Amino acid sequence: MDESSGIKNLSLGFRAKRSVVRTSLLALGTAFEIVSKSCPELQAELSGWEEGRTVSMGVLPDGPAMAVRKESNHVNYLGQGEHAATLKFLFKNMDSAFLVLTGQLGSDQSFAEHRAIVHGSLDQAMQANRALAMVQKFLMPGLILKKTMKRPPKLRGQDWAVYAKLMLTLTPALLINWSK
Amino acid sequence: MLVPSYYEFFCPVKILSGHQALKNLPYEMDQLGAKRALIVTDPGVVAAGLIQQVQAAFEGSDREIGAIFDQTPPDSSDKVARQVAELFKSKGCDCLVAVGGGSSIDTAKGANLMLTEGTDDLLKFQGAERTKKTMKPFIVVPTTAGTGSEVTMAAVITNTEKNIKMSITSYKILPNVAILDPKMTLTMPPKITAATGMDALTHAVEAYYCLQKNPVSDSLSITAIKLVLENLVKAVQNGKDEHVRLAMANAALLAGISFSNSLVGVVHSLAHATGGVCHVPHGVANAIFLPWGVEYNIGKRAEMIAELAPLFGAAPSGNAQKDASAVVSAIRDLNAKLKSLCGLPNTLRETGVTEDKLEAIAKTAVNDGTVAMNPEDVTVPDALGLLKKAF
Repeated sequence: MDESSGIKNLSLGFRAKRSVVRTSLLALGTAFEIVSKSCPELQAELSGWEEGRTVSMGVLPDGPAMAVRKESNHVNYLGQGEHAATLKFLFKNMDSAFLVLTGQLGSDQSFAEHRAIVHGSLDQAMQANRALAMVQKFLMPGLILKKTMKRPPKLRGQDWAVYAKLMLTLTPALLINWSK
Repeated sequence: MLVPSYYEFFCPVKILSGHQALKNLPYEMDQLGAKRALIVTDPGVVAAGLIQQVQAAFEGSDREIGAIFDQTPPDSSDKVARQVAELFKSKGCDCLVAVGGGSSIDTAKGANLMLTEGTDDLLKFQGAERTKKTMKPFIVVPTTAGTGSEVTMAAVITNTEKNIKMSITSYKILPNVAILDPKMTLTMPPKITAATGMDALTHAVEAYYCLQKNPVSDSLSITAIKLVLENLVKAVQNGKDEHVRLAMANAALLAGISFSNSLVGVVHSLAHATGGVCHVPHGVANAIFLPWGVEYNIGKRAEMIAELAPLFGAAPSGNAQKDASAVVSAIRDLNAKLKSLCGLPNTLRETGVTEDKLEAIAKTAVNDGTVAMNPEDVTVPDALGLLKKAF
């Protein structure tokens, strides 16, 4: 997925959606790393991942995309763009990615509607899906989680400390991205 | 009835259904431009004399059987698919004909993918829609009435080196032709008839209420459920009745098309995991888990499940919860009837599963892709709870 290649004469609407998708992927990747370093529930889930497992998420055919890699007992955000990944979550088009990443459509429903596909092991996809749901708990408001998840999670106890840490790190990262 | 905001549906398989349908096999090969078939089957099908029927279908034809691979094991593997692909090439075949149940069909799907892509490594095709090439001509003759593999776009093949089950989904691996000939299922013993029939019922029921349901799959599911309920007990009682066998073959096919497009849920997650950990046959496991899985989803899908109540002989009461519970009771009654007729296990304990295995099954089940399509969330404690009930 090379963002520089391919389609020209993009509409303002498409560019706006692409910008939102790119920012959402940045937020998701950054949040995944931060939450994985401090959330015991996510760390327990990640303990089943082999070292070096790389999971990417992106939009066909030309991105945006991002990837994370399991290292020690957390994941590292590898940044945007294409990465060699063990497992890929691929949205078939920008609108599908926009729907999911803005919380209008749940992850499971996006697969049910064929808006996204998996390249790689389905076992690993299920593990990654659960991990991503744990990250989303810190990113999305409760109202959206209620709409997009089968059993919406709630922030409890030490989750708030993780949430505060995430906001302190994520906000500057997003501001830097927007200023580019 | 629910019309989803978006859905997709695909089934390009030509269906030949009826008495003497098998005799059209050479003609269908001709239509596909094929001359020399490799038959992929298993020792049980050979022992039942069914390959002789396939051979007889070629009599007087200018098409021929290039080779017969009859060593497909109960669980398909890349190693076996590789052997099939090698035999295909060495015997100059140009068409695959799978004669058997899910394993033979999935093995042929895997071999076809290897032959078409020019590889012996199926790992890189794990996931969805990873091949774009048009496969070799592929015809399927099912000898069970349950899996629906003759019309599904998925194959599950074990990677022997990594000891993992690879799930491959592609619109390209679907067969070109499915031939349902009742003669090919006449020899199925009562217990296998019951288990495979409950497999078909599970496909149809789960497809009706899981997340990917749509109006096309719904209509197929409803017909499949009717056919199973009208014919399964008869098929178990009198396996030599060709009309009943044909009805069950159609039920399995319709349920197969339905779930290939709308997928299945927690019943299959648990059945796949129980098969993987304890080697319980898929149809048997589905039969055991179906009432528990349906009941588990009533909270999220009561109205949809209630729509099935009349098919199961329950008069609609106007109360969705009550009608959905009536469906669960009817499935339990059917299981009990099949147990009394042929010994179909109704609990995990009866299959030889021991209680200490339940946790391992639960942990495996939540990683099964079908969990994602189940309406209700399924965690390890949830899965364990269901397993304990089914134990």
